[in-house]
Amino acid sequence: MSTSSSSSKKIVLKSADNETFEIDEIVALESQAIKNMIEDECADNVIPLGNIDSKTLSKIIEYCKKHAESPKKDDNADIDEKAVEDLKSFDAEFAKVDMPLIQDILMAANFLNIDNLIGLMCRTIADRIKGKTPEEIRKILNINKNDLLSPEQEAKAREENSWAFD
Amino acid sequence: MAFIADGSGVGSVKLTYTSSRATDDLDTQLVRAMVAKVSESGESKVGKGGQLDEPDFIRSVVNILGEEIVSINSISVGRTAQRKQLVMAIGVDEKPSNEALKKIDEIPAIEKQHDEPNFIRSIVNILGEEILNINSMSVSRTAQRKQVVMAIGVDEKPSNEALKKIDEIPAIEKMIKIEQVFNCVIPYVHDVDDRNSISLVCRRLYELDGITRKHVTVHVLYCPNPSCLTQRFPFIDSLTLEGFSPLHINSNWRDYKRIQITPWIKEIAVKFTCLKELHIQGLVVYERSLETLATSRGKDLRVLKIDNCDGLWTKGLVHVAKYCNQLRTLSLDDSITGLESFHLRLPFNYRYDFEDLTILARKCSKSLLEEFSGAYYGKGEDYVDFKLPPNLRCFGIYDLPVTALTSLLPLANQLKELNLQCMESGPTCWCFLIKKCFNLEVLYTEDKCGDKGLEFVGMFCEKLRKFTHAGSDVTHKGLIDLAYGCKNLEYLRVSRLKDISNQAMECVGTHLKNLRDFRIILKYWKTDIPLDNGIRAMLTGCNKLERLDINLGRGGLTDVGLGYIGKYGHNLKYLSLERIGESDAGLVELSKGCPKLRTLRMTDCPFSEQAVTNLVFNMHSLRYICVKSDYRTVLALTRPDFEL
Repeated sequence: MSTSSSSSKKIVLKSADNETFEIDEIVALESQAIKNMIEDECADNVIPLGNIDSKTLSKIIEYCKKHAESPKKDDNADIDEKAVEDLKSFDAEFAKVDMPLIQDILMAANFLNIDNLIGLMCRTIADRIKGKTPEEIRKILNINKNDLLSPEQEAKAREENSWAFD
Repeated sequence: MAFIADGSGVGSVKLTYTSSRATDDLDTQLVRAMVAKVSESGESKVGKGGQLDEPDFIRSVVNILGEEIVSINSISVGRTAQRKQLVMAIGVDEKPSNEALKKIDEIPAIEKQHDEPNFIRSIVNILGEEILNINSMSVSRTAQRKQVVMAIGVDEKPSNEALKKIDEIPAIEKMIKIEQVFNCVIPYVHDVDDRNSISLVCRRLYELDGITRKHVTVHVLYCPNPSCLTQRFPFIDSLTLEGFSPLHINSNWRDYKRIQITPWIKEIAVKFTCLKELHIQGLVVYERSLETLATSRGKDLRVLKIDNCDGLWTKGLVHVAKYCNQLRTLSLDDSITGLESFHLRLPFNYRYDFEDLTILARKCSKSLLEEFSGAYYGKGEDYVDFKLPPNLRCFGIYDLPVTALTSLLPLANQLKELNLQCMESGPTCWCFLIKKCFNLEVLYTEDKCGDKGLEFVGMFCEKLRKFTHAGSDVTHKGLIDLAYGCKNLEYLRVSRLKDISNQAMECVGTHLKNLRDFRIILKYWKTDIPLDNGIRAMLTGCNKLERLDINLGRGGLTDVGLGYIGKYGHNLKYLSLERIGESDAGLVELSKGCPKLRTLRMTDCPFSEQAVTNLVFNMHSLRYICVKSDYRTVLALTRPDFEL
């Protein structure tokens, strides 16, 4: 639960595990999907997010709060450099979570259409697999043995990767 | 839930739920919001059915709905992204009756099944075996990344056996998630090695990589069957076909002429409907190949580059001129080209039809010329009144006379590329020009300014990425100044080094973190050898280095230094050594490392044939090897022929 002393309009979100989160409208506007709903006046009641659990949702709200508080780039051409740095280090800290949670946040951000967060999560995943071997990536993503390419397919793809396509 | 498939919007939407939804459900609200957004944008296109997995399925759905609903005014089928969920939007003139909606609600639904590629086909097959008539079918998701809901209306209730069979269709929730995650992530993965690794992780990522890869370079020699390429990467928009390049093996020049492009062009003409850029290197290209290419893919091609190719392809240019109306870049040699450029340089011995070139030139003149290079200034002609194109970004004219500088100087600050080959001006003029080129990213120079010249470049060209210095002799002092100033350098080639020091190499390692390609040729004397520690410091610092080309003279690098190249050259793909090393022991140390090495050239190095043979067998990544001694090629091999 999150409350704020300001008198601005509140939006209530409900997670898959039925936890409710009351947030300022300005925070909710970080999500393009919710923004569209608000513009269409469809967001007066509780918004149920049946596919986002409370752990993921609270992380997303944490992110949206921070970003809603920070000055937007297009508002002012010469915004405080310190604010930009601050936001950068927040993002870096924010992304320091385990792989399953990152994936959950990414999928939820995709659903709620939060562009910056999608980008942040994608870059984080891309960074974590950068320079890794297929075996290492399998470990990182916890890939099931049944989903691997057959040995013949893998050998062929490996051959193509190293000789033909680069 | 997104209703805008990539590139194609949705005009109107009808959703069928398997259970009734309240007006305040998120789904309903989102749909309303999305539809409002879509209709604002006013874009409505019909998706490309041909790119979907199950064309038959879509056709039948459309047929069935056509029977059910009085009149359909628009149908759009697409995916939110390649391989992502299917979105189907149908616009109807009138709202279906409550009775019809209720009937749809009562359709037996199969829930909690996931979007396996063969899922729909399997269900249809099972129902088909039962000889059940399907009267309606709709596919949707309860929410994005959640389960697919499929509603099928049948005339009779299926047997319990059939329902049980349907329940058994495998679906793996976790893998769906990985695939959806990577749908988002894959645009952020640019490195080819990373893409290659991802492709080997599992089946879904192999497929996802295949359909999302946009650029592929094919070493034609190793991929004799073009269909391998089209099957794996059907949607690429940029293709480089590489045959033999003289860079790899000089002596086998005759062999490279064997490789023909004809089968590739035939495949491209039929399969690569998305192709926008084609780059052909070191292959045999005939007029008819270019004709096939121009008539089939010409209307979509934006970039065509042909270099180091043999065959009578210049005759085919007339077809390029005729059909390639969208062409922005046409490059007929191996120079880098900018956007909106017309770049032409043909070897003198080529016989080409002057008229073809005139047509080409006229077509290109309509565009804003940004690149002007590859030509020669006519000697003795007057260029005082000569005007350069105002949008010039890239300039490279041989034998540039001093008089031409007056028209170049006002444009110097906008130049990104500058090639000053055979420039006929003194050091003063040269320094004056460089001072003004502070946006330069690529520079080729043959200046006569020595270390002072490198110091100038370091001082004024901070944005420089690629630098080739073939001018008068320079030393470690100039190299240090350059490394301090141009920290963005990715490509550095200095071919007339008079002296070098370990400190200068360390300096390169400390400052040039983005260096990918480093070539130095040391001439004359050397005061600070061996450079073993310098090489180690450079490789440790420049850990992105992919290409190293060194000629340091006898004693310049010992076996220890060679070992360092192996140990610290993690990303080296190309290595050329001239007069490097002391004994076979050095080569053994080298072969223990460099896990990505593809090309190795050795000239006048003191290694035995046995040592080279062992290296070839030990370095599995190696693709080309060339050993030369006393101007004679001892060994030149490419992988398929590796038989020693």
